[in-house]
Amino acid sequence: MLPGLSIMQSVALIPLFPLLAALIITLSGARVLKSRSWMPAVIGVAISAVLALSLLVMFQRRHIVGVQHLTIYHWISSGGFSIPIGIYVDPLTSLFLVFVTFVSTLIFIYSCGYMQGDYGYFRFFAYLSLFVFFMCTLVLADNFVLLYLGWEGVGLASYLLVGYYYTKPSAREAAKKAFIVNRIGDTCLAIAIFIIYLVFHTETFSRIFQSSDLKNVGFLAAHHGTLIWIALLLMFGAFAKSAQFPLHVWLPDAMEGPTPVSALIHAATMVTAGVYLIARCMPLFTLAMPVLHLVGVVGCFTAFMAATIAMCQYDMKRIWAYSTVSQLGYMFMALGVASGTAAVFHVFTHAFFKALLFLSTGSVMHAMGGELDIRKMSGIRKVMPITAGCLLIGALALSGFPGFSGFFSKDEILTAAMNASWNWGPLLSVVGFITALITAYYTFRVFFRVFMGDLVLPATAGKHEPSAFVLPEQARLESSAAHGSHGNTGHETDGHKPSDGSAAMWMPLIILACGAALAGYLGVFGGANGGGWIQSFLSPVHLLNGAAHPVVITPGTHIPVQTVSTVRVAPAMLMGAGAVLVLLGVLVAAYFHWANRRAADAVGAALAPVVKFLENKWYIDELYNYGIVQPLWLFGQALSIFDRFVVDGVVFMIGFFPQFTGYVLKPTQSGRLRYYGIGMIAGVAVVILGVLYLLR
Amino acid sequence: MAVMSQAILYEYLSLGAVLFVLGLIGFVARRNMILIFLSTEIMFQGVAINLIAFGRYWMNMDGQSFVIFLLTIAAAEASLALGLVILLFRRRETLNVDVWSEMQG
Amino acid sequence: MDYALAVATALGALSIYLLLPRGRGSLVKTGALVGVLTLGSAMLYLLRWVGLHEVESQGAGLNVFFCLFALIAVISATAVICHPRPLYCALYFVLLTLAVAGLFILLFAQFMAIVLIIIYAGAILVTYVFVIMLASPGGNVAVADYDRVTTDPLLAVLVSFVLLGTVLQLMFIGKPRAFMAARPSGPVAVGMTMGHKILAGKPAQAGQKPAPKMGGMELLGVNLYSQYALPLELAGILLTISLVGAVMIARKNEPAAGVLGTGQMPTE
Repeated sequence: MLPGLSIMQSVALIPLFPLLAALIITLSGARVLKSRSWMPAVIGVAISAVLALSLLVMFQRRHIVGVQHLTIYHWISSGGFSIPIGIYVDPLTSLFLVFVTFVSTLIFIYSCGYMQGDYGYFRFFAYLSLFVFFMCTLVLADNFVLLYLGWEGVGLASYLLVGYYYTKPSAREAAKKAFIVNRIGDTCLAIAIFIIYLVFHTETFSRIFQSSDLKNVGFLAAHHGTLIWIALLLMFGAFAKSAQFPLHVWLPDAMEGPTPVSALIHAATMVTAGVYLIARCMPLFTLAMPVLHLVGVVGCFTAFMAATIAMCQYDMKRIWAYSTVSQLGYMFMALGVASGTAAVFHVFTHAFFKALLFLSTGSVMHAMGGELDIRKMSGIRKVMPITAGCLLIGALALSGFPGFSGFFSKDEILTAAMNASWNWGPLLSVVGFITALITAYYTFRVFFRVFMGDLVLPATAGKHEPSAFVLPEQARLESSAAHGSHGNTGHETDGHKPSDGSAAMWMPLIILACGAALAGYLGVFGGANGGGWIQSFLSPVHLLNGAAHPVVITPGTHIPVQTVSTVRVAPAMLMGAGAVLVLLGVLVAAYFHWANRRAADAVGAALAPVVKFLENKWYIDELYNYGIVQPLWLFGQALSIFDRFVVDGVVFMIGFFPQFTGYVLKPTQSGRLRYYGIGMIAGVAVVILGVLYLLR
Repeated sequence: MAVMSQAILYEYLSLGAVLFVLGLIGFVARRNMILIFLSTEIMFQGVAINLIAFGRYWMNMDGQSFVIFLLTIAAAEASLALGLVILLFRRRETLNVDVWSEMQG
Repeated sequence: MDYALAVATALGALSIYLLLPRGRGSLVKTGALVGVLTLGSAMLYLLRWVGLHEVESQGAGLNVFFCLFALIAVISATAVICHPRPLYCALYFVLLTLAVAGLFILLFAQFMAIVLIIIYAGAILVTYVFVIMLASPGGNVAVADYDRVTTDPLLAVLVSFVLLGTVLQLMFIGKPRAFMAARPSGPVAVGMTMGHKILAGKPAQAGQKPAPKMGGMELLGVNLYSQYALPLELAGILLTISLVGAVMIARKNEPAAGVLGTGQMPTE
């Protein structure tokens, strides 16, 4: 690691480099750095990535083993209550750190090219660096309060970046929506943290997870209900951050942010914080099995629902957003069957292929002048071959095509669910397989629509994206100036040919493509006992896959919590079934969206009600509107009326009374000092008379 | 030095009260600003007699010390008040206090 | 209620009411007559009261000098508030000051008596006289209207004398026995005795300075600079501030010196 520092001290520096970058950019971005603002950001996050990678190597070579702590300083100390700023490093942390910093580095490099010339260039990199800082803090925290700090911090960064084009009303709305929906989860998480302190009298992970209380039958019996509540609240916190039903509504709207943001925050890293939270708290969840099962069921449902919605969307980024929700559902499904390893594995592979898909989409968007509607373009592999290749690899990985990373991780999840000791596991697994089929279909629907077939470019292709920061007046002038010749509203008319873009844009794509293609093999080869590397690497993590032994809840009641207790279906068969389903999905997509696109329209017309239902995203936004927003609005109106007539009435009365009294007493204020003096003397005389004759 | 009886103390106190009340009447009834302030000086004198008499009665110096402060206040008040009187006189050419009634509500 | 006292108070009120300037139809003579009656009755009342209650004083009785100075003080105070000419008021005030100084001497406050004369008669009154002369209205009117007629004399006298009556009733009411029982006892009495011992002064021993006595500067100085050091400093600051304030007020909006007292309107 770094010279002169211990391993843990070096690890503690991982979040600090991005923070330093954020500070430098904030302070000097506007005046000094300007278009060089990417430099501190990229350098900072690259150093962090190297450090994180070396930490992983340390674990791998067993230079450090198990769980490591380092208390940096005492943050809050009050009586018996003490919150340190400390780091907690185990293989899970290490793995998260690696992919967070690594993917961040690539996306930062990509952003250099992608955001070139955008208004507030430095602001973008400051926010991104701040995000990486908070994400690393979240992952490294050794107690719940510090984790909460990181949790809120990534929420803040997400809010800032979704609302990056703050002159655009839709971006502002999306930012607010993301923030408010996340607030629900954050509140739940905060309450969970409070209850945890009440029960365990500490917030530190190691003291909670390894406390003897968790093996103490009397303690568990006494706190059974409380533990359920803790798990439930933690679950809601995770659901909001990771966009699970019913709190998933913010994620698709969050695509209003710049594409690298969508890739980094809303696909690869931040949204997996919920998975991290539940994986980290698995020792608590194993004591609240009903909640863990609820996690699995909701994850499974979300996976299915989001996948169906993704089938009928036309905006590429929106499709990937729903795909993200769906894939996160898979991860929660894995957690629900107490298979943290499978979940983390999928997080790992998903980070690569989803970032790849988003970045490729960003390149498309860049080349097409901001157009993302898949109905308006076709066959563009001819103008941007590298992007097409990368997106193909990403699509293969996402759909779980045999041999690509998604295949292995998804298979791991489905196998774990199928063979879970929980009786509902197979059901989840079957839904998961169906979802895999749908996933393959919608992924390749995009690919075949956009990249294959005859070359059709949208009208805006080759133009710069219309900047969100053009003032209305300016836009009108430019629009009228450009009217005769082009008729578009782009703020620069010197177009470029649609292409893959600069090296800063396609190099990260290729690296991510390699990751997306190959990361899955880490789950198959390279581990001890012929297993995958991921599995053996994560094996020291405490209770990641539930308790290895039955947990006693009450005397006489044993609740076994084991990942794979039974073998219902052989893993090889499941793998084969998955491969067949994916191939089927790809073939269907190829037929409808490449070979015979008219057939797709015909089928769509035949199934119009279903398509409409899915296009409207299961009407969940409307449900929110009529179920929550409108009643709240009405309630607010009622309160407003109450306020206006009752509260204000009382206030006016209170104001009126002194006014009236003053009006009555006004003549006594003649302005002549002598009458005031007489009044004073008379008062004194009355008091003395009272004392003399009444109190004797 | 003889002990002062309470009866004799009361003689002085009643004299102080009489002077105070006379000053009060002047303060309230007179219209000349200068005389109004002069009336307050009479009230000060009554109070000073009270303080000195109490000091004599209790045989300590606190009463006289208080009169020192009282004289201080009287001097400060007189200087400020007379400055104000001159200022006001310059504004309206009269010492009649009744022309100044801007305090009325 | 002590009816004799009440009658004396009422008489006093009547005399002051009559004495207050009222323009034409002045009733000064009647008022003076009633005033003499009042003072006489008050003296008689006091004599009787002291005779009744002065049990243990060694024949101090009603001091002649007290009566003299009190009479001068009350008469001159009445003159101050009742005289239509401000300058005379100021001069009567000097008389009042002198009488009060005499009372101070009776009370073993010789130093305070001197200070009172110096400050009041010497400093404050001179200022008053200056201001009276500076701020006299123009024209050849001997006495200004506002000096010749008071406003609401009845109200002022009534209220003030009700206050005086209640205070005096509070003081002079009660039975002689109960009154004597009200002599301080306990710690207060002990403190009083100690005060006597200290202040009465020890007999001077051979080769020693005589102990300071009450009424001089020494004890007052010790008291002021030990017990009241901080208030004394604050009083000094207050004086300075008021001095500066008086200068500022008098100079306000003045274009130049020399306008002072000319009666010109300052430019605002």
